[in-house]
Amino acid sequence: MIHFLANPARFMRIGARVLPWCWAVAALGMGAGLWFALVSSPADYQQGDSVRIMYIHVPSAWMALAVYSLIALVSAMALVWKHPLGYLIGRAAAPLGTGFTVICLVTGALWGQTSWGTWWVWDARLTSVLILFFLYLGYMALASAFDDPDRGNRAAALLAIVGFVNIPIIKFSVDWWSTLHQPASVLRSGGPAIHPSMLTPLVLMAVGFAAYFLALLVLRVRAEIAGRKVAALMMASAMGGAGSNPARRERI
Amino acid sequence: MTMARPPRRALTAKRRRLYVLVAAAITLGGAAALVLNAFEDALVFFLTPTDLKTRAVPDNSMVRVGGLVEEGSLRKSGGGIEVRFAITDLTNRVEVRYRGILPDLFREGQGVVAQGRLGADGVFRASEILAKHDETYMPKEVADALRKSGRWKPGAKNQGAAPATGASP
Amino acid sequence: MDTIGNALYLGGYGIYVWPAFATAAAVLCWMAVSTVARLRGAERSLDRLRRARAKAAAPGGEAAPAEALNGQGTDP
Repeated sequence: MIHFLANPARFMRIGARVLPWCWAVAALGMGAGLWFALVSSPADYQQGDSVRIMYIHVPSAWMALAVYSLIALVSAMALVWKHPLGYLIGRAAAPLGTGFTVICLVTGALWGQTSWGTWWVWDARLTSVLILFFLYLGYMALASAFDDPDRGNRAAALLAIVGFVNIPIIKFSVDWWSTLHQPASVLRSGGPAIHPSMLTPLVLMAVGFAAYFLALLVLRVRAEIAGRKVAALMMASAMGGAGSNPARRERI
Repeated sequence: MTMARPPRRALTAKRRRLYVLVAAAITLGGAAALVLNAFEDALVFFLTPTDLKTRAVPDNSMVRVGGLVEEGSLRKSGGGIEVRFAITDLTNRVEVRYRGILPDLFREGQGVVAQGRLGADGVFRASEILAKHDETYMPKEVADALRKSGRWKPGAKNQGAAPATGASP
Repeated sequence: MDTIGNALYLGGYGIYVWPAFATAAAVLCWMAVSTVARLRGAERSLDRLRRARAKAAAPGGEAAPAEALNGQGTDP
């Protein structure tokens, strides 16, 4: 399965087929989610209408974690099996994951100010998510730091794998240490502690975010593949045009 | 026969890389666990009233105390700006004095984190009060219905008046 | 008008809720715009290089493909 999908051309053919479905699910999920989040869901018994921030804060936090996990996974596969597609997916996913982390941090600050009474505290949950943000930045910086793209890819992949330690820390920080941030409401033992009327917009939004990410990921991987072809062509022509056969190098 | 199979050397190289990576990941995870364990105190955002009593907290040092606002302990004076209440972890309690505006979610029986200094008289003088809320979300009508039917479990597991899990509509 | 005002006010929490949703919308839009820009840019330079190479391969043509990226205006 892994080796079957690792062929970039095959991956892109499958990507092209799922792309319209991703857009459809993203539009439906986010559209319906927005309706439920802002109009049809009730206010919270404690927090009133400020609870509506949850419907974007929590899905973006899930995406920030999921996208990083994906990058770590494909990085490990790229390092072990030398599948260049893993590097391409990682590079394509990183800016999107950074975006979700930014949404999570900004909406979290706004929500924190209204519910806790502070924009920011250095508790374990908030700090570890900020570290996640810097890991994303570091990954992107490393991936493009070297003249030789392969070296950059390997260095960034290594950082992604090392940084994966942070993911369980983020998830369980609220259980392991005393934090200002409350424990998990949905993914916890004993079932969700959220009323169904408020779980609906949360789940819809999360599905929408995930589909939106997948759609953009397919397009970004396509761009990365095109970018590699450009680099290969430039290299071929730089190495003395007439004699070499650029068509061979163009294949990844 | 030999053509159908991938060369053995390539296979072992991949295997080796996989094993190295797995070993590195395990080592890294172990190291991270040790480091986090060692820094446990620094990772804790607040102390409980029991911690405050049992641990040697240096006199007049800035600390955070967290717990529940004790039911019936809230007193306001000076036009509501002078506040006194007690923080409890259901084992120990500490008196808190605070001058300022309380956050919206500050309520008796709810979670709170106070930052300040513990005086020699045992009274905690807070300079900042943060409200802490639990992980339960539900509409007001549901909360009222739960209270009415007596299925409300105050202070069940975490801070705050958390009802039994799986709130039904 | 009043109902709209009430809806936006959100019991006083509107000043936190709306910026949160606006931030999310802005970042999500940026993701799409930057993705499309990247894809377009990469595909355009790939096209240009390929065309230049085809020209070079044809008899008489000796243009080096690497220059095609810089000389944007000279393409037919």
